[in-house]
Amino acid sequence: MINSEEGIGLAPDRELVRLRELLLGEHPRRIDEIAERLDDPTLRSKEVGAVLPNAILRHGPAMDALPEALEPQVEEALARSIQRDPARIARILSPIIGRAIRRSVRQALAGLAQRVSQTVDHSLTLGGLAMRVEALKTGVPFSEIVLRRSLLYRVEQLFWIHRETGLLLAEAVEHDVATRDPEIVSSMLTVVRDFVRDSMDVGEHDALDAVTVGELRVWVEPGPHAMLAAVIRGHPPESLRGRLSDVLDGLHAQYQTELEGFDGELGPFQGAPRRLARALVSQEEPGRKRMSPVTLALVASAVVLGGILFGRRFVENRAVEQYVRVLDEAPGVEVLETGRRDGRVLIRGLRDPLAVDPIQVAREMDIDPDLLAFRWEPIVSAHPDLVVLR
Amino acid sequence: MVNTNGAWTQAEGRDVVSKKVCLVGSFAVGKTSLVRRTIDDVYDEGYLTTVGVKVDRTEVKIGPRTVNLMLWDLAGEDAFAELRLDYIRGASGLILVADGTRADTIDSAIELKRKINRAFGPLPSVLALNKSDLVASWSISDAHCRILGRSGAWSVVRTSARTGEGVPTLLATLARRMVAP
Repeated sequence: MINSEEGIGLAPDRELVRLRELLLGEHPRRIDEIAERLDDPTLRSKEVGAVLPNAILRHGPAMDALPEALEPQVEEALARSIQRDPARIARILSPIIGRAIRRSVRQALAGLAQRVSQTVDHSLTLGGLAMRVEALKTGVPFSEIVLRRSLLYRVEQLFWIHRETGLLLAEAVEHDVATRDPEIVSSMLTVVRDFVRDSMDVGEHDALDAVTVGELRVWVEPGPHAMLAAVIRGHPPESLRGRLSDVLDGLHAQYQTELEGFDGELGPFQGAPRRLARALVSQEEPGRKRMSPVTLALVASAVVLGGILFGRRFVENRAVEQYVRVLDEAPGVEVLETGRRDGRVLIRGLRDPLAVDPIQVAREMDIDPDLLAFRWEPIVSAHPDLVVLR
Repeated sequence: MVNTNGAWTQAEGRDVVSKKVCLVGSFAVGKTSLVRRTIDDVYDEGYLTTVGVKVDRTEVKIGPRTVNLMLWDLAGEDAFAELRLDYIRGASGLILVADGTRADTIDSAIELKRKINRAFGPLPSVLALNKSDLVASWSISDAHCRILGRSGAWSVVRTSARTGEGVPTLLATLARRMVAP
């Protein structure tokens, strides 16, 4: 039936097509093309894909509804991704939320413990009493003053270590600190951490985060790809952990791509030591600041001068004592009292005018007569020598 | 008062690539002595028996590049102690050491390589046939050595921890295998 119709209508159809071409030109073909593009889903998605990013980037008020429309889909996609591989999202978010969580929980607990311990230690000491007075005067809590006075430390070395390989990515060190081969130290630290974790039967994510050797402490901050080991001298406050953690998070954020594809190339990390050095911090004991050289020289001069004056006075006193004894034993002289007045030695007593001349005796004993003042009560002595003289 | 000190040193970065290399092999094949030929010994051997690992460092020049080899000397495997595979994680290369005078240590090296391959996939490797100074008393023939080298799984280098023979070749061969594009 159709065939017969086609057979009959073939010639007029062709003419119609020709006529349409003459009248409408290219348009029918264009319409067919557009219809094909609209009907073919593969072609359509390809075309939409080509313009979509541009459309989103340059969206005007008409696209305001886009975030709202995408929200459920994005949430759904995230939920599925987390269900499938939670570690992936955790790694992505770690530099952002890891900082906040780690800092707040750890600092709150450790800070509290440290405060309690320090406060108890200092409550009944003399120094503690002075700190209480300071707390009353300044309005700063007593525990904080205790903490400030007792925590003195210096971060001497920092190692940024790739977790899986134990390789040293970057290092920062105080200029006056002697170091052993930092690359070996980093690897051995990784070994020891693994060893301790395996030996102690702890959880997969638990690890050695502090080592204390005498005055030195090594604090280790773990991160998703790399860890930060800090060698600290003294007693650091728990808040230092927050600072280390901030630096580590910053390094992760800056070198995220390089860390993910790390294969031993150190070139990309050349800027890391500068960022690392932000954690080379120290806290000095208040009141024990070093004196300036000028102050030191003045104090030294004062001490030397004081020493000289004191020494001279001592020698002088000894000589005067000797002189008074000699005078007192001389016939016709009786010393009743000695003392100092206006920088001179005042000697009071009884003296026969025929007795020895005190000034002459002083000269014989190398004592400056100007240093002496006398107040003699004249007497007539019955000493045989003077009787003979008389 | 918290002070931030600006003092710091730049890690030797430039054109340096660092690689973790594990030394494995049977008990008493001379791994530790082999390493000692190339490095400034920093740590005591005691670490090997207590922790099971001792790390040393050596550098190899490959053209303009410096390859920094962190050599993880893992305690030898024997009838009483198995190799701790955990320590291999993150390694870029392997040095398997066997004793030319004891054929069974070569079998052990082959077995170790298989075990490591299963856990971490194939790693660039070199087999050190140690004690080349005692070649007269070797229990394996030249032909056997050639066959070992043809497997493609590793390069074979004859070494002597006593005379130092072959040690630079061993390290250069491995470094080249690791950094080759």
